[in-house]
Amino acid sequence: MIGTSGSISFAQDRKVWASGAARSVFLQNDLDAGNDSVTARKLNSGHAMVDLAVNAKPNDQTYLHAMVRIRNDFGGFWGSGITFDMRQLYLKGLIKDAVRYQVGDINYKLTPYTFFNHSEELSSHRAEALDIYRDLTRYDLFYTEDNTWRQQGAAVDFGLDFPGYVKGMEFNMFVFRNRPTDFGNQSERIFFGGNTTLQTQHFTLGGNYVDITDLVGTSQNDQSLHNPVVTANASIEHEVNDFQFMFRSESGISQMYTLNDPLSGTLRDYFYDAKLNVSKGKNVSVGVNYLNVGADFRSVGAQNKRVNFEAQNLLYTRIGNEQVPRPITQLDLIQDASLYRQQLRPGLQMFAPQYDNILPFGTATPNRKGLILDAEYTSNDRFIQAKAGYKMLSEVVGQGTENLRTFNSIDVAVDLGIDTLIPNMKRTLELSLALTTQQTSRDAEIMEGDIDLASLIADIGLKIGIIENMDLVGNYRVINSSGNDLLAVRDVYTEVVDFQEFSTDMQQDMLTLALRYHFDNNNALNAVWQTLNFKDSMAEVPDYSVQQFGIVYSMKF
Amino acid sequence: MKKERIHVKGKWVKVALMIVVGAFITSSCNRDSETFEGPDLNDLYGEFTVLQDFGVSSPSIDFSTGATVFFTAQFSRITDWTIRISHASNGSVKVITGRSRIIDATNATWDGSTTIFPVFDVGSCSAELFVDADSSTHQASVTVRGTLKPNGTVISDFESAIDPKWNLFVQSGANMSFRTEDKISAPVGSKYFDMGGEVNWDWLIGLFDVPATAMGSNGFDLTSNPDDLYFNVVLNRPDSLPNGFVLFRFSEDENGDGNFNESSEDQYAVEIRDFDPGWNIVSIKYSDLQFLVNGVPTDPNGNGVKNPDKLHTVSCLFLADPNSGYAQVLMDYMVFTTGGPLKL
Repeated sequence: MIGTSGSISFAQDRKVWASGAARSVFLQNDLDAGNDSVTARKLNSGHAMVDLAVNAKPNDQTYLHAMVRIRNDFGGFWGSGITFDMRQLYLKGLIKDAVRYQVGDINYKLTPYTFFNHSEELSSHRAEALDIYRDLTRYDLFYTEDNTWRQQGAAVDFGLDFPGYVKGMEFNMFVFRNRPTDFGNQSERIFFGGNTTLQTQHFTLGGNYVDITDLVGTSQNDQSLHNPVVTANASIEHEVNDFQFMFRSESGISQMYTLNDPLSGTLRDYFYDAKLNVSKGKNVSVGVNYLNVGADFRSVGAQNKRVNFEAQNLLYTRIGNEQVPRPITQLDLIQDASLYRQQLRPGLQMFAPQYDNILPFGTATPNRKGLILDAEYTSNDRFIQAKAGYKMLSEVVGQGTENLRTFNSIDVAVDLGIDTLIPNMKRTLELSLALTTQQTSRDAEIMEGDIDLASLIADIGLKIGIIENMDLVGNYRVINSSGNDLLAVRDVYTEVVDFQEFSTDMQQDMLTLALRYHFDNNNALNAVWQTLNFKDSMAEVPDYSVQQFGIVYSMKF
Repeated sequence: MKKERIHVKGKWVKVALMIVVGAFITSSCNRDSETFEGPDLNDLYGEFTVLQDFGVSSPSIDFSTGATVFFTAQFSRITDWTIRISHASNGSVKVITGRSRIIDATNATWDGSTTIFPVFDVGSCSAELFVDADSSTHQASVTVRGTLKPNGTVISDFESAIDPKWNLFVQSGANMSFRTEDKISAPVGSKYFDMGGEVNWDWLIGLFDVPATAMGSNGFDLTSNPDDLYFNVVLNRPDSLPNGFVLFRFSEDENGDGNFNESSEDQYAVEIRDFDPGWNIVSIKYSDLQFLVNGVPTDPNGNGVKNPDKLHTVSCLFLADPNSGYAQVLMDYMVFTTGGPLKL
């Protein structure tokens, strides 16, 4: 399923045209880390950047897009701070008006268990004030709202139409170059697969297959990683009176092994995920979901994390007189693109239990089973939009003990359009509240195996229209996490070989205030002030606060 | 670009497709019946006791035949441990470390190799086990009847004078050495190569080139797989002289004309500096070598493929900051090995 890049305009009637995006960012930072006399407190940074694309449509069946990025970091003189990069390049078209293809850079996804770019930590609470930097980061990384991964390769899809009850079938296939060979020990690695979907008037059935493999012969290494995943998905929709019922499910199996590696075993497991959703009109919706994902279920395309929690922040990388690495905070997650991954890598990557210990690899998180409940309500006058969810999960098998961890999570989010209550109110007045709590627990036979980890993430956001096209937006977010866990240490084959003690007593809060002026829907100027306070008595890093003021101008054309 | 669908007629196609999909959905799944993932928590955090005393598989051993000896012990839970084997007279030491509940042949096998030089000689050795969990020490003893015979393509063990087929260049600085010596204990044999001197106008103090022709009619006779080949050398930096460092260069004759052309053929290198005082085995996998220009990795001038089977010359350059004064590094036992780094 090929996605599209959000910044690209498409003109049917022109043969060649330009499009792109531009931005300018200037940041001032001020660090207060107590008696830290080593770290430079004040930092200034900024850049101007333009992504310039040439679009060509030589005929009705072919479309070419090439985008270059020109970036100038403030402070570079005589061109020393300027970089030119090819940002994206692809060709797509239609063969015989039936088969669609794309080669080059492609945004792609299949299902949440086969090929899916699960959202990063702390992203479930949306706030316009936080989106100013978040949107820039996501744009740089090609992360889109439809959870596609940006890959390079080729994709093709086509459909078959049937007369009668079965309406048709869709076929999607892709092959992406995951890693080039170094001609020595590292072979060429490709990620490939596809799906087929059968559609009737009332239900849909699908089969999905993905695999990653090293091409033996492209280097002197004859070992070859494989991770085939086969799933089947189904959905049924039915309406009774005013109620719409929708049942959807996906189930499948995976293997992970390395050919010609005598130390590699085969990890083999399965999952199933079924959800029933009942809705009434567009106002009320209730869902119940049961999932069971085996401990050895591995899916490279669905279990890759966006955030690389082994990376270090660009901003104030080390602080304190001992120059301790600064942990990744909510401020870094929204604005530091260097913390994020774009290449799919086999294995289960490091995660941050203080931010998400329930489903750190999305719904494809291995070793989880249980219920997920959710409900949604939207009033007709759009005064209130509310969402609530409850996850009641546990492990499928224990780690180091037969006793299972239990995971409980509550999510609540309410958006209030206060301006809808005030007659003749022309300016925006919106209030948003969001709360997430997580609890991980385990009682083991020995005290060192007991686990008790609790986290709370709370947001309050505000949007006030000041004058036409100008808004004041703000958000205050608190994240508290305390307790302990035993994190699995995995070998190169992703099998658990040890446990690492994890303890936290973290408290961080961030206030964001921004003045936004919209020239139009694609063109905005923002002045953003933020202050972050962080402390964790269990960490080596000293208590600190960071203030940041930024001017952000962004446009798309 | 509006995509059209391909129209298919025929009921049998639909039926067949549904059968295939249905068969897949109903296929059975089995989950391995493991009770838990990872090591048992009792093995990691339970009460600690020694279940089996420290022992050795054989009281005496002849390493020259390829035989090995292993140590044994068993605890009630996993712990960090260290076995230190010391020769009774010549000062050689072997250290084996691990983290496990059981010490056996899988994690505590001694093949006669050395951690602290000189290499082990025949004679009695004492083995001491230190257990981290209870800070206890345990003793055993083993007698060495024959010493380890290292494998590989030996470039030089420096037991005799420098081969006249080598190209030796020494700057005309102060206190220049560049000769074999036996003033201190050598890791292998009795002699080593002493590179020392003070050159206050150039980084280069001296160098030697070992051409393939000096190795015999078959040259270095190395494998073509750079991932399976290791260059090894034993180096010693005097404690008070951290300024000297060694640059090894590997020049390939890619076109087989018997010469190395710097502008069109690959020359890979490795800089070895900041190593610990005393004798150290330095091993570099051939595939990890890089083309260096002033110490900075750059694209090589040749085909960019590491071809150890086409190795033309191995060069050793001894360098130091010209403002840093006298520099010295001692060298012994330069050898290529396959399958793994050198064990001494």
